[in-house]
Amino acid sequence: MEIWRLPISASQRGKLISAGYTSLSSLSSISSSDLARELNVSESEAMNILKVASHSRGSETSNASCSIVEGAQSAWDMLHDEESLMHITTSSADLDNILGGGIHCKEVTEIGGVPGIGKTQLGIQIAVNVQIPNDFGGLGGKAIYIDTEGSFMVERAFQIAEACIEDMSEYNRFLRKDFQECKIKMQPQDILENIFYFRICSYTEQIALINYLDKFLSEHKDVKVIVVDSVTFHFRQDFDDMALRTRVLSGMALKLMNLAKRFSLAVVLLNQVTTKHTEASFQLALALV
Amino acid sequence: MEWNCWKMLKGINMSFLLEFKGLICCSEMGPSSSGKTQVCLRTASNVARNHMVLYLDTGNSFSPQRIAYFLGKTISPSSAQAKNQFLQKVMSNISCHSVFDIFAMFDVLHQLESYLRCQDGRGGFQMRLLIVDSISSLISPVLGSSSTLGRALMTSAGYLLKKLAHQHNLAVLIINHTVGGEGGSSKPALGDSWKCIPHSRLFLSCDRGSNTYNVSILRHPSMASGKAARFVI
Repeated sequence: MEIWRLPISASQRGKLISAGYTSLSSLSSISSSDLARELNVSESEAMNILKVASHSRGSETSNASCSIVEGAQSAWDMLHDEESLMHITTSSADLDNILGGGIHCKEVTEIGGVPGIGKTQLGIQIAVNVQIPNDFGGLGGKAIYIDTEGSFMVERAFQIAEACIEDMSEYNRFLRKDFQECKIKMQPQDILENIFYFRICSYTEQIALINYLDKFLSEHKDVKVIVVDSVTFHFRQDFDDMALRTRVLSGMALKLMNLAKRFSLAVVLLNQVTTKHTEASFQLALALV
Repeated sequence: MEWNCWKMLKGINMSFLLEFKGLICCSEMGPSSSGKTQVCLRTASNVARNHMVLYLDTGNSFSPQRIAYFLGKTISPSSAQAKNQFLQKVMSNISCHSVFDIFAMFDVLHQLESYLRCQDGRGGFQMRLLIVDSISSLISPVLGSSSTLGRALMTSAGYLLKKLAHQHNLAVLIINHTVGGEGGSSKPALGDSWKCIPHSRLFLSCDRGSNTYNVSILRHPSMASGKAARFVI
């Protein structure tokens, strides 16, 4: 029975099996309107089922050429890719040293701390620093800022953007003093324009947004960082089913890792800490780890 | 393939001698940061000298720099170009693919099956090792909801891996996590249904503050369970 392998909803699967379609080959010769009539579903759903089935069937019969599976990379290629990946600087030399050059692309970085230590400021700084143009050693990309707590302040972001531009023009003056001084054309307003801001008020909105980001990123290919301020904020209170909470959070983490890998961007998660009571002592630990 | 566990018991550095004696689907588990991924990377770098390796990564934990480090330690210092050539030859034998949900893993395993069917006829470098890091992060999001689909997917994934190991002489190494059990002790994730699927199970843990790791056998077809060893990577 191969139908259970298809990524379709449980009700569609149940209808397929009760109508007698148990293997992928039985779906090969039917048209979408006939299938819609037999299963009592809409035609677009039937077309979706047929598309998914033909995709899985096609991947079975294709011959593997140089790579074993589609999309696999050899370790040698990955080593060279890693060496050429750029980092996002955090504007602090010590922090960059610990992170190995800065925030890495294609990776998810989690930053946790006690309230008031500066996590949101670091998040805003990263959202500004990703826009440093390539000439100055940055990525020249846009940023997505997902705010769950409401702690993003536009005035502060404006100050940070101004300071960043001042930094760049000083660097420019220092390094290119022999050449004609070229002015920095960026203004703080441009930097703020390149930050896409989402405000989340509940956990359902958070889950919906993570699912929507796939489509958003295919349209805006120059986004290079996603900053999620307090990824666990909405999950800490008023959640009845603990097992569901763990499942949802781990599913969300996997989706973010998938986005980071596919679109070559960096994901920065800011998290709170709690005190854990282990071995008769109190330790700080990241929330919901 | 049988782990040469005597080497482990003597406590020397983890240089696995893999002998082709049989087919073992081996599952490793341990709490967070107990060295499971490092063990996998070390194994992959050893096996890749003579055979091909496929690494299925669910958490972006595959690090080519670490593999280059392991390989660099074993060869004698020679010219940079010879070292480069050696690294290229060995590391081209390791393929890494990222999977982030269970359906993608099924796709990959089916492509792998058709590849192995063509491979069995010809000679040359053969694929001998499949590493899944980690299966619990793929299965936990679907397990436990009201439908029984999650458990069905888990068991079918397990049997598919066993079938691959058996039919194509492949060694399969699976990483699992631990969760809290009764009384504060940890037990492996994925529950009792997963317990009977791997042929052998190893439990890894790490001493706090030091670099040594402990491994103990929970289940093995030919060696007594309960044997433990310490090692340093």
